[in-house]
Amino acid sequence: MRLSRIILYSLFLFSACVTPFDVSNNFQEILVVEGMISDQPGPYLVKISKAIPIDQQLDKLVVVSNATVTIQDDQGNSEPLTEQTSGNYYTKFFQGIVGRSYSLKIITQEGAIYQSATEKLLPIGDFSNLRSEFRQNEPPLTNGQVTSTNGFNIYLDSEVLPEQEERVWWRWIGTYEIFTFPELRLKILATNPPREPPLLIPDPPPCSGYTIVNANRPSATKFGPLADCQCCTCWVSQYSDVPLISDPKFIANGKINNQYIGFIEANRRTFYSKYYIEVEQLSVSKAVYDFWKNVLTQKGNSSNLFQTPPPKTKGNISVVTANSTPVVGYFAASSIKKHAITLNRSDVETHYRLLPIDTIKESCVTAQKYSTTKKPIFW
Amino acid sequence: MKYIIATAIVLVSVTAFSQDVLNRKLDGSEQGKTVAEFLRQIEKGSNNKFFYIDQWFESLRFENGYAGLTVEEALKKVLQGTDITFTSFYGYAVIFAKDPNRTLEKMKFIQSIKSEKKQVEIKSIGKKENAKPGSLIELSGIVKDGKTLQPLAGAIVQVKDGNQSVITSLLGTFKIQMQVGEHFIVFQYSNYEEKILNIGTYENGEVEIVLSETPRVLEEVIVTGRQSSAVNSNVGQIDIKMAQLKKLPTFLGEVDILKQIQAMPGVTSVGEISSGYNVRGGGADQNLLLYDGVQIFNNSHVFGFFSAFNADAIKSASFFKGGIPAEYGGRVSSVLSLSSKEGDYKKWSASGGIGPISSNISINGPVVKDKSSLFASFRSSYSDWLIKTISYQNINKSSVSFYDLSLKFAHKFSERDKISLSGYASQDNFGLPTDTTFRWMNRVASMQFHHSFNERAFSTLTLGYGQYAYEVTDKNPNTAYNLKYSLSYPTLKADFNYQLGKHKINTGIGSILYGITPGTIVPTSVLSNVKSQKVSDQQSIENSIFAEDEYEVSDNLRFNVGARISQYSSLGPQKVYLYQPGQPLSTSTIVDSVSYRGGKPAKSYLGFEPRLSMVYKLSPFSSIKLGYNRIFQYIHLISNSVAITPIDIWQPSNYYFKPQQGDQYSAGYFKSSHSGKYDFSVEGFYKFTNNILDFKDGSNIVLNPNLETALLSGVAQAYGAEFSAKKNIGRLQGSINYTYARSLRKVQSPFAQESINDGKYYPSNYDQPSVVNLTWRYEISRRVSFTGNFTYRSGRPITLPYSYTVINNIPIVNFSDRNMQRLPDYHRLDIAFVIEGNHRRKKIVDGSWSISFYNVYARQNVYSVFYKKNENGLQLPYQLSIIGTILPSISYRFKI
Repeated sequence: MRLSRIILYSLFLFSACVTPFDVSNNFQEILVVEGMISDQPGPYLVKISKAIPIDQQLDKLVVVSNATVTIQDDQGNSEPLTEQTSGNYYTKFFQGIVGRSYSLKIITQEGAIYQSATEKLLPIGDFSNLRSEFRQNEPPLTNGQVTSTNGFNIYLDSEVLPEQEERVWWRWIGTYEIFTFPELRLKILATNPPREPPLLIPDPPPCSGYTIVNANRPSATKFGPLADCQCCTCWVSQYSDVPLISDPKFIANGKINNQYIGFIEANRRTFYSKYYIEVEQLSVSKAVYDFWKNVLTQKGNSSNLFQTPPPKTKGNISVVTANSTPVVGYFAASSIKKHAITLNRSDVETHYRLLPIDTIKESCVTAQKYSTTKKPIFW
Repeated sequence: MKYIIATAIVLVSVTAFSQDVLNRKLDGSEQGKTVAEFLRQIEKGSNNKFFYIDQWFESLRFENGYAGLTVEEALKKVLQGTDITFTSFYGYAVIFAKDPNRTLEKMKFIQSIKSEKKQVEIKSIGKKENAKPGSLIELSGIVKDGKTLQPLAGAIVQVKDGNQSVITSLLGTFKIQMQVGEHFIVFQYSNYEEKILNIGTYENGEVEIVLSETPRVLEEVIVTGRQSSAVNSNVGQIDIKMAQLKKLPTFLGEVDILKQIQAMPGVTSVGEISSGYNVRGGGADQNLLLYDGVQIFNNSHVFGFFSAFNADAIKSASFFKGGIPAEYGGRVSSVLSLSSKEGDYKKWSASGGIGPISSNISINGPVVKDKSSLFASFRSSYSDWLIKTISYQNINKSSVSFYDLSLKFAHKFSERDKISLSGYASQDNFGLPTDTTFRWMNRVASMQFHHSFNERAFSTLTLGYGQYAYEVTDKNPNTAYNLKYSLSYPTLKADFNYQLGKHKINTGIGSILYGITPGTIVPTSVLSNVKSQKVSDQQSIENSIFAEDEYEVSDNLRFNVGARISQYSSLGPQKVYLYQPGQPLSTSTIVDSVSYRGGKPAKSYLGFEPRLSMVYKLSPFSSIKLGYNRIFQYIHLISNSVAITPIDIWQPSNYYFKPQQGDQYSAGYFKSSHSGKYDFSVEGFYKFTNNILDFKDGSNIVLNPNLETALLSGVAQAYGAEFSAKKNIGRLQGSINYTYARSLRKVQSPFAQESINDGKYYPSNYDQPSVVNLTWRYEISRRVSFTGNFTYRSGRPITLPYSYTVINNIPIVNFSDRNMQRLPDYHRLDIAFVIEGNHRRKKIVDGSWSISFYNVYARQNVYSVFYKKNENGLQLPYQLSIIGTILPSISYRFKI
């Protein structure tokens, strides 16, 4: 054979492309319910709202007010909840007790009735060895340390009671402090016709303690400080954006070792002072576990070409009255165990130096999502 | 000149008596006389005149049974079967003529032979002097391959002047009745050189015809074992023309048999370049794929980019989508039976192809001349540059490679006994950037023993062993594991074919023993948090017995009636969990379990599968066909994705999973033009399948020891109509087909969580109502042809989000009911130029080039919709178009 005589020539323009798939005209109204009773002291909260069209922002959340919300147990006790802030319904007296079963009933203003499955409050095992491991994935100064892929993986070792039937649910809240400079806030002076280049004038919010003379004029000047800054120091909360539930595959002899809980990003803001993380371990019924499992499957589908079609996430609440708006969400009855750890700035600085916090020229409340000026009790 | 063309002679006459002559009744005195004597007798006593040549009537005699007929009727009867006709002119003359049309036809044919410089072989059967002119004789014979001397089944035998044609039987034999005299007979078999026989037939006799393969490389692969015209074949049966396949545009230069299947009416696929296919609204797991009689489970390389079969190693392929014969069973929707190539018994040769992705080489030749032969072919990818070009996230950090290998050894003990041993292996490696690697493989070995008892009876015994396995390995220290799945299936089949007059009987038995290791997962690092797990092995056996009869009731009517009885047992050792009655199946409702000892059946099923197909020829050029089949399927594909992926789970029926039962009714009308230039067909079908499995939302199907809690059982129905038109001859050849079909499913249960879409019918994942396929080939010159194909399919159903919510600070997307939305429609045009080498017989390398352009107008067809996070942390759908542009490629094929 004279393969050498064979000339091989090929030319390729191979390109794959990814574009968003338009779903804007598919909207359907849905009622959203989120409620829990636990073995911890009350009050317990039930939130009722409506689903948001895919292309809209979260701040357009429509809450459902004036509903009649009742929790009852298998002993014949029940308590109507009161709407303290719109869409948020609270208990006053009820106390969740392990072994009892609870259910939720909602009657909306329009008369639609929704009923949760009966949820048994199961006991929960404890967890230990809540710990962090630093991961350096990029050079220290990447992105000016405002964001970073470096940070801490959080792990724990968990004990699973037989009553849990291999189901565990974890939640965590991370808290860190930030410091901002709202008095340096600027805005574009609105003129007709618009100026080119636009003229920036001082625009300190009142909470900064500064005031302005000649507001909305080219000669606007700031004065102060006239009072202490009310929005320079904030505490920001962070949550897991994926549900954390146990995988029976990893349970051996009633124990889960090295359960991964989350990743805490280490940057010049999150470690301005320190980072506090509180982890809850909850018992969970099969219905609520399945709800989270579906959510997890939905989340886990990302970036996988061989994925399953995403499952519907329905939850354990069903519509009783015919032709009413469909519902998603859950009412859970859970026992809870909590532990917390604090990660210090020095835990990062044993690896490399962190820069001081950057100059954020706005109120600390709006600077970050889930930000508040109220100092947490544990801080 | 032998044939005389009669011309009308103008005779001037005013008397008109000939009608009377022809209407005169015979009184019996004609008995024993020759026609000439008889005509002279009547001529005497009348004013009529008969024009004829004595020799025409020399051997034609009036025997018994003519008395009472009119002269006209008697003449017609005695001349029946001859090519002599008569006409009366001017009421006075009766002119006899050797049929002028047929003579002209013959002359035209002879002229075409001359102009095309075709070889004509001259033969004579019987003694001329014994011939009884006008009588019919029977010519029988056998058509064989010139190299291997194997009989060629399905070759066309056409008597040129009689407009008569037959097809050779499975043993290569044929029988044809014809006039005593001289004829031209044409023998054709696709990819073989046509043979023309100028034969003088005077007595009954036999011929042996040897056809040689066309020397052109691209034409080298043969059609199928059951080649037949559209008019003759059974309903739902298609034979794949391998040679044609090689002239079609290719994806990256790879000739692909499964792509050709996907271009047929009634066949669709869910992905841009997916090798799994859906036949008449059936699932991808409902297709039986046989390689030398043994099943193959995975039919693709690189997750469906290429088919797992090297087209060079395939001799023939038969595809059934309706009216499936009783010989086949086990899968509800279709059968694709591939036969591998056998080596040459005379001399060694090699061939191969070089493409941008992979190359292949085949060698074949005699081990012992005329006794045993060997065929070996190997195909392998070069590198994983292809995947490197996908510029999405980390996909380009993946790695991919594959190979496949086929071997066939055949030995002839005698003219009647032959053994063939064949082996097939394919393997793929696919590595994801996240340290996860997939490896999957299919291996098949088979031994076939053929014995022919006589010209009319033969049998085949097949012993085979197949294995399909995959392995997933994760090397990330924290999650390091190794997951293994394996399915083995020793197979036995014995069949016996017997031809008895108008009946062709095929009967046999078969057994498949499935052994499944559904999964073992083991941690592979000390840090790994994966716990070791094993789902117990499963054994089951599927036995079958079948009989079918192809009965030629008359020239116009043929039945194929058959039945298959299948018996299935899920065998121990196994543990069957029992669930609380009146509750949805769930691990929390387990109340008890029953253990079965090794080999003891835990659950058995028996299925009676009637099969029927019928062809009724309205004329030699049109036919009506009907078909019905019932098939039981005992193995199910549990897949979490819409296309077949190598890591799917094949689950045999057991205590909970009942076999699927599919019933299909089909009917069709076929028409060919008189010249055979065009074929038209329309076929309709209705299919109902019960016990199909679909998964529960979010259920875990990998390593689930209680799989019955993760799956739901339902019914499926599909119906549709397929229209097709073909041009078979000429410089421009091609076909166009349009299919309208629906494929729906219903999963209903008293429990809401065990119903899908509230128990209503919903479109299946592969419901693509409208499909158009257009294929053509235009010969620019003898060596260069321009080919192309165009495909259009309705977008397939998907489930899409319609809103989102935030619960527990976690953004969650709300999805519509299952499959309530559709992807955009799919369409694509491919073209190719095929340049063949010169056609000289004696050359060292016979090569050809193929220059292909895939997706000519660069449409960004959606290959898949997947989900990724937007700025709100929501999983939103994004569409991936794998080939969003025109894709040219060049490949080279050669034969030495």
